[in-house]
Order: sequence, then C-alpha cells, then structure tokens
Amino acid sequence: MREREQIEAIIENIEKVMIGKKDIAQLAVVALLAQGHVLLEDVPGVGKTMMVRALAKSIGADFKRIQFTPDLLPSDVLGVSIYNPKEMEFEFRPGPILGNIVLADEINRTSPKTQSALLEGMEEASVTIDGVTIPIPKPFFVMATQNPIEHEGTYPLPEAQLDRFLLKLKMGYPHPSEEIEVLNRLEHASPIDTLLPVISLEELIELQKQVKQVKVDGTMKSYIVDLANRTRQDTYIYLGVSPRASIALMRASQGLAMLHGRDYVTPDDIQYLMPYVFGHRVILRPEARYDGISSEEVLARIVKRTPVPIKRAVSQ
Amino acid sequence: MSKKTKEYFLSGFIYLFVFILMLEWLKPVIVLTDTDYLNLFGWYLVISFVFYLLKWKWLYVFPIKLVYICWVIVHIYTDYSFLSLESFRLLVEMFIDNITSMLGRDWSDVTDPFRTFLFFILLWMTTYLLNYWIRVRKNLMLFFLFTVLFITILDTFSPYSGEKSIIIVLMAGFIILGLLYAQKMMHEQEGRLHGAFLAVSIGSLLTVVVISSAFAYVLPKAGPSWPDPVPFLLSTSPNASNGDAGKGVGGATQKVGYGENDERLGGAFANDNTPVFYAATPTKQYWKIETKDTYTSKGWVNSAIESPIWKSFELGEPIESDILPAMEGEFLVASIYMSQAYPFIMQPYGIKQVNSGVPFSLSMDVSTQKLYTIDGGNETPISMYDVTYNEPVYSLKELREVVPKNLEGLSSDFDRYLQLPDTLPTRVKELATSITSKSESLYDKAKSIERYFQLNGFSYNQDLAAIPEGNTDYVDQFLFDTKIGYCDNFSTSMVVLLRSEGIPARWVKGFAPGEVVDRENGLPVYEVTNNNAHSWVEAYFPNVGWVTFEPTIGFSNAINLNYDVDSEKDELETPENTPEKTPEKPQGDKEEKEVSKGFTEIMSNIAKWLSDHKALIFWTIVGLALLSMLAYHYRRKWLVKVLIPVNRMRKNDWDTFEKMYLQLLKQLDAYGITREPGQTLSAYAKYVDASFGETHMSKLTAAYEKGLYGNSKDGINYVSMRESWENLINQLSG
Repeated sequence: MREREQIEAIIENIEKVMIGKKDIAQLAVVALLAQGHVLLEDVPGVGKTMMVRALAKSIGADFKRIQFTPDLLPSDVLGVSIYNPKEMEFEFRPGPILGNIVLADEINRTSPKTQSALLEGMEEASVTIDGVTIPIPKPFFVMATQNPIEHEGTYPLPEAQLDRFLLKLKMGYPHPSEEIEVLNRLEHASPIDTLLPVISLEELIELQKQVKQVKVDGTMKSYIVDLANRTRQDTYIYLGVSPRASIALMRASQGLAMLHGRDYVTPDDIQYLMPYVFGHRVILRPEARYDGISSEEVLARIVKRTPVPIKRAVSQ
Repeated sequence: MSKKTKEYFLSGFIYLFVFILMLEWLKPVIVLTDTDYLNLFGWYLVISFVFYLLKWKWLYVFPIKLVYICWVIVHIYTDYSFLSLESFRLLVEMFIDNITSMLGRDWSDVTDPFRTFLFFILLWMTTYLLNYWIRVRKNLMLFFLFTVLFITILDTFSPYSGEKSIIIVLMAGFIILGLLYAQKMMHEQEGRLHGAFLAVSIGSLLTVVVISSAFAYVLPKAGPSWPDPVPFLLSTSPNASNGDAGKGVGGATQKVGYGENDERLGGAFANDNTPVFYAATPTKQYWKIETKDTYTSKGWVNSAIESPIWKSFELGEPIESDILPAMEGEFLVASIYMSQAYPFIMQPYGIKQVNSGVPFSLSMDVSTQKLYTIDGGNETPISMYDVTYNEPVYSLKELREVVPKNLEGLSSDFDRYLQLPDTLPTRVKELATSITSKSESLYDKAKSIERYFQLNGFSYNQDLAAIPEGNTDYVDQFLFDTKIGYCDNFSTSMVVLLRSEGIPARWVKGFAPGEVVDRENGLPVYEVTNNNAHSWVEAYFPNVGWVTFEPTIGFSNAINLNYDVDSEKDELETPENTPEKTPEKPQGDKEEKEVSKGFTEIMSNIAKWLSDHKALIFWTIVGLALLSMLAYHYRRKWLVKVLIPVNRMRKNDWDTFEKMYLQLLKQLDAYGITREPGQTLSAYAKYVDASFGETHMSKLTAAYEKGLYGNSKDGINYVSMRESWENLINQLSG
C-alpha cells in the first residue's frame, strides 16, 4: 500500500515536531486528503501554528500565514491591484490566501467582512478581485484557529460559515511528560527548521484523487444518513446537521479509511469522525446548556443509540 | 400484493367484522322495539361501510345514502313506486310537517316515517364515528367493550336473549382488535409487510379465535355464580315484598345474622358485614350461643320452653356448662367487645368463667345452654367482658370405645335429643344407615356422616338454598333434591342423620371465628360480623360427653383430639369412604353414554380415555415438562453444538460465512456478551477477544467487514475462518 506509506510518512514527520498529538495530526491529514479545511479551537500557545507549519513542510507546500486582527481588510487577505507607474497599468499583488497551506490565525478576532472573504475563498477555491477570478493553486488547505469564544474582543463565526470547515479540532494541553519532551527538543534548536518534505505536491494531489475511490457501501451511506437524521430529531438539538455535513462525513471517512490502508469505509471510521464533523454544525437548545450537556455528549449519545448496520441491506 | 391492495384487504376485513358488531346492536333494537326490516337497516350499514372502505368523497356518498333512506321510507310505509310523484310529495310533506312539529316541540306529532328517518341519521352518525375510530384512532376497544356491556345488560334486564349474540360479539371483537393491530403494524412498517406474512398472521388470528370460541362454546359451563338479579331486585323493592307476604317467612331474601326464630329455615341470604362483636383471643374458635333440640321438618324449636330450668352464676364463678373445660393445659382469656346489644354471652368451648369491669350476673337456660347476662333482674346487654376457657380435649381411644351398645343405658333426659318428626321420609333413615354401616364406633359413624357432605356432590351456596314448600321436609329436600345450601342445611341434616342412627345430637347456633382485623396486647382481634352467623352440630357419646361436628362445606372446627390409638386403626378412616363412592361412578357413566350422540360421544370418549389414563398423562406431562426445562436450561450447550455439524455441510463461500458469522453474533449475545446497537463489529470483536483471550473474533470480523462494507469477498480463507468460528462456538458451549 503505497498510499498508506506516504500518509504514514507525513504523520511521522509532523510527530517529530508535535509531541503526543498523533490523533490531531491524523485528523489534519484526513482533512487534507479529503480536500477540506480545519478549524482549530484552543487557547494560544499549544502548538497550533507549529503543526500547520510541519504539515506544510512535510508536503513541500507553500505556507502562508494570516494573523487576523480587528483592522484587517479583505484585501489584506485576498490581495490587491496596485498601479505600477512604470508599466502604466495595475499590477496584482496576491494576498496570503493564494498559497497551498494557509494558517488563518485567530480568525475570530477580525471583522465579519474579512472573515467572509476568507471563507468564500475556501469554499470557491478561487478569489475574485476587480472582476478577475484567480484560481487558488492546488492543493489548497486552510487551517483556521480561533480562541475559545469566551475571550473578549472576538467576532464569533456564524453557523453558516462554520459549515465550511470539514473538521473542528481541539488541541488541548499536552501531558506533563510530553511537555517535558517538548522542552527537551527545543532546548538547543527548533526541529521545525530541519524538517524535510516527504512527498511532493503532485503526489498529494494524486492521493486526494485516490481518496474519492475509497468504497462507501450502501449500508455505510444509510448509516451516515441515519446519524445525520438523528441530529435533526434529537431533543437537545435546535438545528441538526445539513446534507453538506453528511457529504463531509462521508468524504472524511474515505480519508480516514485510506489513512488506515483500507479501500472501504467501516462504521468505526464514521463513528470516530462523527464528533469532529458534526460537532460545530449542530446548534444545541438552551435546555442542553441548562442541563450542562455539551454537543460532544449529545453526539456521543446519538452514536451510541444509532444501530450500526451489520448485515447486507435486505432488498424488499 | 401492492401496498394498496394489502390495505384494502385488511380494512375490508375490519369493516366486515365491525359490520357484524353493528348488526348485534341492531338486532335487539329490532326485537325489543317492534321495529322490523332488519335487512333494510343492515343494507344501509353495508352501503355505509363500503363507501368508507373505498374512501369516497361525501359529495357522492351523501346523495346516495339520502336516496336509499328515502327509498326505504317509501318502501316501508307506502305502496307507491319510489319514482312516482306521490312518493316525492309524501317525502316533502313528511319533512316539512315533522320539522315544523319538532321546532314547536310537539314530539308526539312526529310521525313514524320520520322516526325511521331519524333512526337512519343515528346509524349514519354511528358509522361515521366507527369509521373515525378505525381510520384515525385505529382503536375499537371502547366500542367493543360497550357492545359487550350492551348485550349483557339487555340479556339480563330485557326479554332479549343475548346467548348467541355474545359469542358472535366476542369473536368479532377479538378479530377486530387483532386486525387493527396488524393495520397499525403495517403503518409503522410503511407498508413493507410481506403479503404472505399478512395472510399468515390474519389466517392464524382467525383460526385461533374461531377454534378457541368453538371450544369455549362446546365445553360445559358452570351455572351462574349469582342468580338472575332481576327477581332479586324486584323482591327487594317495597312493592314487590308486599306481594310476597303471603308466602311465608322465607319468601324474600333474608338478611344473614343471628336470630332467635328458626322455625322456618331455607331461602337466600343477603350478605351483611355489620360487626356483631370483636374478640381479642389467643385461639381461633367458634362462639356458641345456644342449642336447639326439636326438629319440626321445617326448622328448629325448643321443646322445654314451658318449664325452663335456670342456673345462676356470679362473675368469676365456674359455669356449669354441659361441656366442661379441659383439665390439663392453661386457661385462656378472650376479651369480648360487643358492637350489637345482645343480652347473652358468646361462649367459647370449654368456658370456665366470665369476668367484667361492670357488675352483672349470669343465668343459664339449661335446656338450650344459652347464657344470659342479667342486671337488676332483667336481661341486659353487656358491652365488654372477659371469658376464661380451656378447650376440651377428647381421647380418640375413648371415643372409639363407644359403640351402639353403650346407648342402651341412656337416661330419658336424652330423649329430646333423639326426637325426629313423624313425617320424616324413611329414605333419610336408610341413608343414615348406609352411610354409617361400615363404622363400628359411634364416633366413626358420626365422622362418616360429617364427611358424607364433602364427597357426594353437595355445594355451599347462600343464594340458592331452597325453602321447603308444602309437606316437603327441609332435610329430605336438601339431602336428595337440592344438595345445595348453607350451614343450616348441613348442620340440620347431620343432626337428623345422627338421630336416625340413635345418636343423641343437637343443633348449635352461634358465630364462626371471623377475621383478624387488629392486634391488642399481642393477641389477634377477630371481627365477627353478621356474615359469620353459623350453625353446627353437637353429638352425645356416653362416657365421653358432647362433641362438636362441622358438616358444612368450607368450614372447619376440628376438636382437640388426643391421638392415643394405634396408627393402623387410624388409617382405616380413609378407606371407609371408598366403597361409598365407587358404586355411583359406573351409574353415571351409563347415563352419559345413553345421552351422548355424535360430537358429545367423541368428547366423552376423549374425556373417558383421559380419566382412565390420568396417571400416564400426568407423568408424561411431568416428564415432558422436566425434559423441556432441562433442554431449555442447557440450551446453550446443545443448541450451539448442533450448529457446527449443520454448518459443516455447507459450502465454503461468502454466503455460508455470512450466515455463520451472524449465528455467532446471536450465540455470543445469548452467552451474555451483548453488543450495544451503536457498537461497531470491530469494537465488539475486541471486546469478545478480550473475554476469551484470543483473536478469533477480530479475525472473523475483519474478514466479515471487508466483505460487507468493502464488498471484496475474494481472498478470504474460508477454511481458516471456519476453524476460528468453530473454536469460538466450542468456547461458548463449553
């Protein structure tokens, strides 16, 4: 399985930099393979940037970083046409979004106008400036980070825009022993500087094509739809997930199956990814908050109650 | 079968049986109200239900129904042709006239044709409601219940006989309930139910209901447990009881309880649970009030009324009752709290003395043994007193030693306990002789009589006891004709039978022990109500004294017996009865055979075979039950083992593997390793392997998941899979 080796190599590379976050690294790679984008939600300083940079370096991709601030304008993201008096014409200066791997740091710190400029670019995989549509080079992978909503001076992303992210992940603090290891590695040098690419961009694009060939059996499709349906009927959920979420779950599951070296999706893939795919796409009722129930718990309950298909669908 | 056809099929059945139920509503109305033309109303129901079944719009249904109703009215009340002008005019006039009079509230002016019309409207509304219940609520329980109630009430209180009707109603009702459930199920499955499944389930429903109803119909049924309430209600209403006055004391239902007049026994009793007294007493016992000695062939009187002998006692003084307390053992005290004002003592057997916080004296009528409470020279009810007693103990040896010969030296004082009316039919005496002939001692003879009632088809019933009319003897009627009655029947009959055999006996009145309702100072408190009023028997044995007997079915008042005899002789008691019983059986069989014909003959043959092979059948059933219990208990062991050879016969391919894997899941579940519905197979496999310490399940699951979810069934090593599978199955059964 060449694909599996390639993917393993990427993850191993990231692990050189990131300690004890294999699952997050895997999920980031899954999103990359499934051509989705990731929203990382956590406090500053837990290694979000480090991971994206490691990922970019591993695939030899162009890495751009946008630090969002309240005064950032859409043109700062997309790029701007500047008049060149020598040439007597406008010249396009591409913005940071026109890279392969874009880290959109603290996306909830900027104004909704700038946020939507980024999110539109993510959705369309192209930007339109002064009437000219410029395609964003492939592969295109955005990893946005945001501080938890509780922090002051933020503009929370609207639900519709959250839908643009394939996965929403949380880094979490490292284990004390892992944190010591981090200190050890950074004592004399930064390992990120010595990281080398393990696959080329072309190979990655090929992998992304391969992901779509991973088999999703009819039973698995109906399992995904069943799960999605149950979020729409759950008593704690005000708004269930959209069909786009079902598609996202299927695509991500294909990515995970490939990561595990399988050419078919299993219920385990779906169950594992479901909280990351659906978590930011459901809106809980106020009752859930009163009862102290998080969306993770609601989704875990749905997974627990939804029967896993274990037989071939009986044709009626 | 398409979904629609299935629905029509089911609904059609439901409407058919609802129609049958509706018809059962119509029938009594037709019978009881001088209405006629059941068929015309029936057809109307048919039309209604067919339209509901086809779900026609009311726009079409309404005129059709209206035309039908008008046609019926014209057809019933006139000779006109329906399409003629006259009939049209008649209908128009009918509507105008009747609606006018209805608006004017002249109800008496409403004509019969219009009443018929209104009846149709009522039927219309009923069918509409039924349709609503079927289509929307999918529940007809209420209607079914009301139909049963309606039929039973009509059957009870009106001349209409609901005998057949109730069977039809029950059958149709149960079928409807079943069909509605099937319909509900079909809706839940969104019509995915298989046609064959539907047909089988409906077929089996019909079969079960029809067969069980047929059985219920054919099987013999017990008589009503209470009599027809109508005569009873009539008899209690004041008007009716006036009319019965001429019939004598027992004409109407009497209230149960203690009364002094026993001249005319018999007749039904109404229950009355008014408390008479409460007794805090360490032992459960009978409360004796008095005895009576003269049987009049209708009831009991006292012979010594003209010259009563009185004995007086003070409180705390030993009472000279003719049944003395036992010498051994300790004396017990019962505290009596009277709820009703009776001026006499409730005597436990073995009474020694009476004490009370209030002063009074006691006076005993020796001939009746009734112990009156006297204060200031008058009979005065006392509300609280204590009775000290010690129940007498009889030696069985001494009792058995009393033989008929001992009776010869009896003094003439006992003549009144041997009195019998001259009119007593001789067959009573013959019966007494035949019952007692096998017994030697007087005590065994008395016991035989006491036991006679238990074995020979007598039954206890307060409502069906007969009142002897004319020259009929109360005892003779009970012993030979009715064989049904309450304590007075049993006790009087036993006294008469004892006397016929020359054993002195008397009739005792009092109360049965009652129910424990409380505890006081560690003693149970018995509540004795009017319902506990009772009568029993005392027989006199020379050298021993008076001994009590309890012939009434359902009551027991065993005397304290000292079993001081050889056990062999004691066992003789049981075989005594067998000869009495056997001669009757073949007789009964013969009669049955003469009567039986066809079906009954077969049934009786089956019954006979069953009764002849009782032991065999019993042990077969017990054996089968044990076997199936064992088989069920060890089902995991053998059931699982069966799976291995069965599956070995199958081919090594995916289909077999799939079947085997699913069987394994089932067996694992039965073993107790359950899979949550939301648990994936691979997670479950890890769990299973963790319990068995191997990796067979994960191996099987990986292959199964690859085949199921990946649809790649090549490359599975079925032989190796089978080994793992058998390994797991063996572990499950081990």
